Amino acid sequence: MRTSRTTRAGLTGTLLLMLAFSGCSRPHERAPVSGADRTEVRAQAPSLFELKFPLTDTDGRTRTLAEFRGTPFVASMVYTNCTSVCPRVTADLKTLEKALPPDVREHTRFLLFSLDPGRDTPAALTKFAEHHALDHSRWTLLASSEDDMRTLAAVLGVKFRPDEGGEIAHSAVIVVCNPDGTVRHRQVGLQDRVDDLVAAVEEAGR
Amino acid sequence: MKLGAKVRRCPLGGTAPTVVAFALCLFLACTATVGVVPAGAAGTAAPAPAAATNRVRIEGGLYRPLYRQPVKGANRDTVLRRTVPVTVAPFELDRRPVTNAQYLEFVRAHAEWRRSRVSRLYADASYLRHWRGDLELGEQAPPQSPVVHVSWHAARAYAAAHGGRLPTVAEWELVAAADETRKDATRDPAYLARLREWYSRPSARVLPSVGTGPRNAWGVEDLHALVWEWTLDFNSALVSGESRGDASLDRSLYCGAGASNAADFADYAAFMRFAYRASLEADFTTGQLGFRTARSLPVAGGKP
Repeated sequence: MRTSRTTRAGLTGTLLLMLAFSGCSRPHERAPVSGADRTEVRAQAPSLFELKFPLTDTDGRTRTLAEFRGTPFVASMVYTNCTSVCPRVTADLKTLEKALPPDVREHTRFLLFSLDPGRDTPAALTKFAEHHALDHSRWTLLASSEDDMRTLAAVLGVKFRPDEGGEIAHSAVIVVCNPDGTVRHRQVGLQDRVDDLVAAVEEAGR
Repeated sequence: MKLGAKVRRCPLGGTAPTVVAFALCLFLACTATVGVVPAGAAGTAAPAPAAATNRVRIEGGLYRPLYRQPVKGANRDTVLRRTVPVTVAPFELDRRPVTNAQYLEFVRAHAEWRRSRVSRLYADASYLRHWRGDLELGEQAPPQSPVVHVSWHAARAYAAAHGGRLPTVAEWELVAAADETRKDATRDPAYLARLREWYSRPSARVLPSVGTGPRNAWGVEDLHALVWEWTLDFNSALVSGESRGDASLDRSLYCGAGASNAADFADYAAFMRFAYRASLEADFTTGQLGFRTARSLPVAGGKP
């Protein structure tokens, strides 16, 4: 995996081009993650708890990621003005929540990070949580500074591009983390089923 | 995180692509792997003060992205595509890429960015691999050569420590459109041919000094012929935000590139940069990827 990052970056880009020209009709395709890579990642994975920046929750309280140490958690990035992808991601996460065995669900946390710190005030986040009927005991909605949001998006692998109309085009990424903050599973793009996510959360809780 | 798509072999033998795609693929694979070589010879530049942030004021202007953006039509299902020019506000940009000597000063002052201490969250295992030690450059990393093997996180931290930030794609591309005399030379086939030639040359094993190439009309150097450079929003290449969550491709660019969606297919080098950026992750480090810093300027009646 470490023999040549340059080559790999080049080839990944090449593949993107090839895919783009050869098959344009698979909007929800999931990025392939080979078993070997996932194993390597697990062996030397850094923890998200190294991210020390302050976050603000729906009550306006300052929080840090490290507070979530000790239980598996599922993370995604959304913005509350979003009318397309975010409600679907949120719905998928709720489907996942329901699909978990009760004892696992009890010990799993769901974190939604804002891609739009400027507009996602505690009030806006609260409204979003209420609109989607998110269980306060398991779900936490968090906003950071603009700079820290960029860092988080980069770490989670979320691509995004604000447009002139106030929308933020972004990729739907769902990350399942172990209790130590390392990433166990990452899903890119919307899926029809949550089986893989359920399995990842169950593994993370063991 | 290294959990995204991983590719171990070039899929050239796969489906039958268009001639254009094939050429682009080959071109990208070659250049992304072997990199570029500068116009001048190594070590001929006069030593510059290591700590100086020598930024150039850029008046701003209109950057015309090479891709077309989806624009909502009369009803939800209608998506039009058009080139939406990006207004770039005045800003300052480093005249040259950050050098090994400058980066060494940075890691002296910020121990958490030394090779032996950097978190794997922020940089992969080849971070500063060409240096002899934590605080020693060695022969693979001449002081005045651009620093490479730095991640996006590291480049950002350096920029912040120098009162700046990374330039956005729009800012970088605006300035990179200039040749020595014109601020936008991208309509000139001769200039585009020069770019292609630069991009396809094999790379020197040890990178030459910064500032040995031509200075462009903005007063900025080394944008094309030395190394690739990080941008603040390198991770902004994706499909539209409308109804899809897929990040793996930018259909607004690639699907139509061979047909009609691309704003300007003649600017081959711009496509290569776009594809190269799309292939990056924030912890990646390679021997052909460096950076320079930028700084926002206050705008009248607005945020800085």
